[in-house]
Amino acid sequence: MIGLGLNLGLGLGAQGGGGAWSPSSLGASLLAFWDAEATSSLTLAGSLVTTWTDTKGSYAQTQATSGFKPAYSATSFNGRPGLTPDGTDDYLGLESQPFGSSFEIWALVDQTALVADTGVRALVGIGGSLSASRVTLQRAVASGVNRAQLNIGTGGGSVAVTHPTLDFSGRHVIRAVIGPTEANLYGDGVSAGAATAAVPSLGTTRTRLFATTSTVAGNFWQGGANAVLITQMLDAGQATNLTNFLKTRGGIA
Amino acid sequence: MSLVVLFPVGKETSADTYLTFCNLNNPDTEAEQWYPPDWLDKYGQRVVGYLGPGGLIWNGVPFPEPAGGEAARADGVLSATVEWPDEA
Repeated sequence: MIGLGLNLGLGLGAQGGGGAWSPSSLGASLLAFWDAEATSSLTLAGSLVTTWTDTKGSYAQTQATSGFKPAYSATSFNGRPGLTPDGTDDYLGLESQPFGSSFEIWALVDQTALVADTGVRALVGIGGSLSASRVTLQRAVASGVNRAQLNIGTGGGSVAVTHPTLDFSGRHVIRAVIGPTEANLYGDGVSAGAATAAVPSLGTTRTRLFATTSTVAGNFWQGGANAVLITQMLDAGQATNLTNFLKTRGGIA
Repeated sequence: MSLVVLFPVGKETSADTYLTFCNLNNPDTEAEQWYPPDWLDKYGQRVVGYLGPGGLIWNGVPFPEPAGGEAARADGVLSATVEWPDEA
């Protein structure tokens, strides 16, 4: 007897990189994808990260100072590859801002700063050196709870969007939508609520991972990161697929 | 958090000495520097990253402090936290 097994491979759901859908399925909507699981994208000194190059646009986030280099491990992110900045002074930087003034920031991260640490900790910074000319996706503490927060420079000042329900502790998928006239924030696919009016006015100085884009880097991220993506404005289907892909990767229910 | 060495105001020369020691003993030989020569905390103290266990993990293992390190940083204080200046 010869058994003929047919596997038609019709799984359409996002399977954390192992199924049919992946961020590359976004096509032109994907602008940058810093992926800790793409080992060829990382240049290491020992286990310290010197360069993390995105797999779509080849934007290289770098760090030339030893004491500022995040650590890489093949298992630090829930058993998967991840970068771990130390929360003291580690960050990566790109001295350009090629994404314009309207885009989305996505991240699969592990936030480990305690609520007693009330300072803002920046995950991604894009734009100029002043708060009025940049976007920062960050962790803040509000009423004793860790919250995801998006700060958008509007030229004359800045507008903050704080996710009111997500306890931003541990592993989460964060999505920041910076539209031409309004912004929103999502935690594990759940919206922060109605969009917030904000017209971004962003500089083109730099893009940083794990710190703000101030002239001297600051507000350093504490925790791990498996993936950071920049996309164009996504439709609902694209957003659902990417959310599911990252949640599966991160072991997030 | 990584350990750093804080040098009180007035001990800038000691901070420079320690930074020179770190640059000479840094296993990351491709780096431009171990730490910048001009980073100050909000109190004006020089900050230099600690070259030793708790300050550097090298190839997944805490890096042992090189001989002479303790003497080189004698005027500084090991600290697990830094209060960086508020952004202007």
